[in-house]
Amino acid sequence: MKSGIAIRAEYLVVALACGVTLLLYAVGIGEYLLFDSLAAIGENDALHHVVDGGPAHWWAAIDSSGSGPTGRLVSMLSFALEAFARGGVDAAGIRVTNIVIHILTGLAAYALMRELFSARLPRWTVEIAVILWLLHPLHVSSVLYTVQRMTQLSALFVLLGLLIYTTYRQRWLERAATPIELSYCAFWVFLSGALATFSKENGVLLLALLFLIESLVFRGRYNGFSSDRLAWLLRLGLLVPLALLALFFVFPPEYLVNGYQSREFTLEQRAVTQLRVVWQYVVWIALPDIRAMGLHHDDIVTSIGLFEPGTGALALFVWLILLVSLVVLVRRGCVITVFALCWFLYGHLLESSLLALEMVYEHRNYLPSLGLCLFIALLISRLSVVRMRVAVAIGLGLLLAFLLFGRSTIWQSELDMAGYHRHHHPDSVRSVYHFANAMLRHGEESAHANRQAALISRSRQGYIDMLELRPDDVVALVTLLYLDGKYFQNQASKNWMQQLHSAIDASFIDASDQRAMAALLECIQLSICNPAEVDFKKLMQRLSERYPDTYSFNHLVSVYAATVEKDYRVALATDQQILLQDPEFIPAHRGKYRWYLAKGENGQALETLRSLMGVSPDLNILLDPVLHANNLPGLQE
Amino acid sequence: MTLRTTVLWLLLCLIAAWVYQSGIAGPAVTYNEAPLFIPERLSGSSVISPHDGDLSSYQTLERSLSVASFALETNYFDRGIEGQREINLVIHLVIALLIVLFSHDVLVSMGYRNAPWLALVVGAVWMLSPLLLSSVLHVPQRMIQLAALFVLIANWSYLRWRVGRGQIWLWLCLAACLVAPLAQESGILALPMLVLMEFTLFGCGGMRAFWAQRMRILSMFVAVLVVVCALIALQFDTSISQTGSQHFKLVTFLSMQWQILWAYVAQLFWPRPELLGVYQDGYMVAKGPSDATMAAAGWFAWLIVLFGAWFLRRRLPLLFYGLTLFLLGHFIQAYLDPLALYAEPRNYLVSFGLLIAAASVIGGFLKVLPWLMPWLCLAVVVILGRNTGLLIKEAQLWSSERNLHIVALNRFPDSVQANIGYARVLASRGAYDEAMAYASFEQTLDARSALRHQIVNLGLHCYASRKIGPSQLAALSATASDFRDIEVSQRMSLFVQQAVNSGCAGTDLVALAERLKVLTYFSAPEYISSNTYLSLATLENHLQRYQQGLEYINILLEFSPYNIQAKMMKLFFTAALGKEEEHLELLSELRQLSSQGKLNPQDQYNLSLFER
Repeated sequence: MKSGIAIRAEYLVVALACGVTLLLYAVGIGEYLLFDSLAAIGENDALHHVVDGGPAHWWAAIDSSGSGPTGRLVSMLSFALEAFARGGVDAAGIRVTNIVIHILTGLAAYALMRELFSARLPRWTVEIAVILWLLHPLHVSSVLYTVQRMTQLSALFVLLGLLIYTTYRQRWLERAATPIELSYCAFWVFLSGALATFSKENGVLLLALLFLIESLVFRGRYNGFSSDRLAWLLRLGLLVPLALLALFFVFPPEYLVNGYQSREFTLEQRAVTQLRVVWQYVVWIALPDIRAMGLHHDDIVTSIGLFEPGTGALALFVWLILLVSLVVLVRRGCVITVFALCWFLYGHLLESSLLALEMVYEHRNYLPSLGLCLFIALLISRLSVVRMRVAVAIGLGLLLAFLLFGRSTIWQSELDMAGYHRHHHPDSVRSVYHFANAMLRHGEESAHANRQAALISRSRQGYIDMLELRPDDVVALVTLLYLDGKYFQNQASKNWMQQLHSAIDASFIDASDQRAMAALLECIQLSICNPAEVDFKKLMQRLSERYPDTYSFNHLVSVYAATVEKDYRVALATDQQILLQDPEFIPAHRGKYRWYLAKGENGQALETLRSLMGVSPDLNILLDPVLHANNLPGLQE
Repeated sequence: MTLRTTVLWLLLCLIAAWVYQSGIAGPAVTYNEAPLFIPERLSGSSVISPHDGDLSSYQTLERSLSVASFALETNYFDRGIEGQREINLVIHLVIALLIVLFSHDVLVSMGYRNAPWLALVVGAVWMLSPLLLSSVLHVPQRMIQLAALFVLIANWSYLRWRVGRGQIWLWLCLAACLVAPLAQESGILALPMLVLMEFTLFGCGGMRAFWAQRMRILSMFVAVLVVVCALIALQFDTSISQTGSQHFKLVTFLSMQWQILWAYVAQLFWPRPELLGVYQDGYMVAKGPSDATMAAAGWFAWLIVLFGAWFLRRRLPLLFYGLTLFLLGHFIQAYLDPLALYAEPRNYLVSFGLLIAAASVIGGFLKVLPWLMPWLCLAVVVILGRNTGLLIKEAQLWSSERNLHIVALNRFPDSVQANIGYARVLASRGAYDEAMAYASFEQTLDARSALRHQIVNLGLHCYASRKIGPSQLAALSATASDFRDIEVSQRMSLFVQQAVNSGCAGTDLVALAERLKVLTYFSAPEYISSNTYLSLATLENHLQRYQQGLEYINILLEFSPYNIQAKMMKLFFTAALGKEEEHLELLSELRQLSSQGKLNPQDQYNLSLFER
């Protein structure tokens, strides 16, 4: 090389893989936001206001995630900075940044793997692992699903923290650490952990993964001293998370149990289902069939017990075999293989175990999949013929690149993506819903009458298909009421209202159903749905009886009374009744404030605002557009 | 300062300016903000307004520098409250810079290697402290800011002179010492602070005999000052009772101050938002009366800290200096302005003493334990980050009168001032009944003077645009002691301002003036404050009852013959009444005073209007 600078071939290949990854993902940059991205980014007023707002708006934007106990401040700061830099929320721009973060995460993973294993593994093993991870199509739903930047940032900071620890730890194998080194190492690891956790809560896994590295890679060796007993003690410590999970399963803490109140499944059902789901993840990573991948996997059946379906017991059995295998492998000294598999399992400790989260999401594999990619790379490196090794590695890389290109292309357009998922997940109610909903939105936004009519007609059919999968789906019924009221008045349609009343009595009402009730009210307010036919109050009364602790139904009665019937007295009395039971129910305070203003009782409105700020001294309350957008004289701030 | 620290400092200043920006916009938010700063011009207008006339009655130095700054601003850069707050913010940033420079020089002189970074931390924590927010955004507190500015100039100049940077710094120090008390009484802190610096940091060492002898004289002077303070302390209860505004005695004051000082420390480094606020009476009401055990614990804890600092004075002289500066500064300020037990603005100047003490401890740790560096940096970043976040939220409140008062009342529901403030917000939005409910509640909290509440109630009528009826005027009553109450004169001033400006929805102002005239007969004239007379004269002027206005001013001049503003008003009344001889005589007298430099710029401007 010129001037003696030798660039290693491995670096060139990894750089090339990063470039290819960038190009392949760039194909999928679309300008739409969906699901959680809408709530966290697209419809997040605070985020929009950073462009023209003051410092308070910035603070509100950073604190506006509403998810998780940490508030995910680091991720929200990154969205706020991006919105500010681009002059507004730009979905395509966010995706570009996500792709860059993906590549940075890949480079951090590469640096970590090299630091840990470059001396112990055959050449190219680490590179193959990282390239597989970079190009894996499973990560499309993490990288191109804008809100999952939270997962990405968390993974990036976890890897950086581990890299720092590993770098320092390598030095201390043969000599003792100085106090300054110890302090700086602890400091940077702590900082990385904090940034990871405040990006997304699974950043706390840094500690578990750090322990994994210590027990399997460094084995307690320090300052030239090593002890077999300590090494075995550390390896035994690897079982601690398993023991803790078992303990929490048998004696679940109250907060864990409470989380399941808003779920359709129980703690036991989730635990058994996850035994199967994690195997499903393994299959997606090892056999990346993009047809099986998707945004929603509610078509995966929830296990009622170990034998319903029977694959639950089978999964448990195979996990036990794997556990025994891991022990055997450790005894035989195959620590890197064990490390790779444990990395995958440790990465799933939080989200795929006992917490009352949704059952399946692909993005949960973003960091854990690195372990399986390393495992696959290890298998390739074991091939005896070098040419075969090269051929398999290149072939696998090209296959993943091809699949990534295919999946990215699908994600370029929301309609294409939703349609593809609908087609390959016909039993997934959410996929069917997403397609129908996407067609409805695109149809309503379309300027061409024919296209609009076609899309809306297909959308209606989509919602009817939803009902075939789940006859008492509240969201589908409400949307059909809206569609028939607005676009299909002349057609003889089914009696959705009757079905809705039955569904309200029978089905489990979750958060999306609650939003559907608000949408139904909006339908009435816009005079699309017939209030006499809907009998909204009766619906809400029924729901309140079924869910006495969910005050949002009563509050909707209040909104209905004020906005449809113009009966502020009833609206105020209803919200007041709610506040007697739950003085911290913010929508009722806001409702009271609005109704008093509408009645012209400014003093009472201010009193309500005072009590609202008393129960929630949150700055966001002050920036709330509802509290500012009033046209009554004397109250304009 | 290094290039890196300078760049970082500029960045922090930008952040501070940006953070404060959200509180700059908005109306006057406190009831005593408006009347202080409306020195109306006399140019042909029939409206003349008092500007803090009470200053002359109990604040002997008249704060002429601060008044001049407001007057200059009104005449040349009048942009209302927003402009005034912007100027306060600029002063805040300048003071922060001075703190950095002073901290840097003092740390360098004590041999700290990380002096630029430590100085930066001191300045940044001070500049972004939520505890000082009310001193910056509450416009009248510019007085404290200006005093702090000159005290710091004095300290920094003295330090530079002391480390051999040239004689000019000594002259600058002396000039600043002289100017500081003209901004606010706390400016007299400059002198004890210099003495403290000399004794704790330099120990009068390295001085030539000439100066050493003078330092001894100076120390004797300080001893005398201490004796004077003690004498003032003995008179404390009497002076407090004369103002009639508070109901605590010296014993209470002293015992509680030790605890309050700990509260200030906590609020400086890790503030609790629920204790921040514009109404300083809220804090003590919220905390409740102190019991003897807590008072003793507070006192004992300070004793231990001071003893520790004294023990370490040779190793960490800045620790002892900073702590003593903080304590001394607070006690002197509390003596000078004993109207409140707890007052956030008292920290404006002296809180940097605590920060220098903390910086010296951090610097000391870093010398012995250099590996602590990243953790200390993290701690500083966390404190700065949290304080900045809190500052953003608190500053935002100041942009809205409504929000500020709602939050103030939520934090301190038993605060007299918070209740009145919120009642005013309600009344100005037409919610008269609700406003009166809060006014009634406020009366139950403060039963010292009936007239206070009556004036507040009348004011609420005006805010709610309701006419004050004859029966309500007839119900106004006062005792002889009511007019000794500073609060009465302040509320009267505000009420008259309102009545003159809005007319109070067609209220018979003549009947009001007559009723107020009758009420003043119940009190001895010497007990009625200058501000009350000036307010009454302003009302009479509005009603064009110049003769009655002149009578009020004559009584005032009888007891305060040097009150310049009264003379200015008299000049106006005599002109309006055609009393040529008296007018010319007064004009001549005022010209003479002007040539002697005894008129502030505002008065000079007003006088020039008569000259034309």
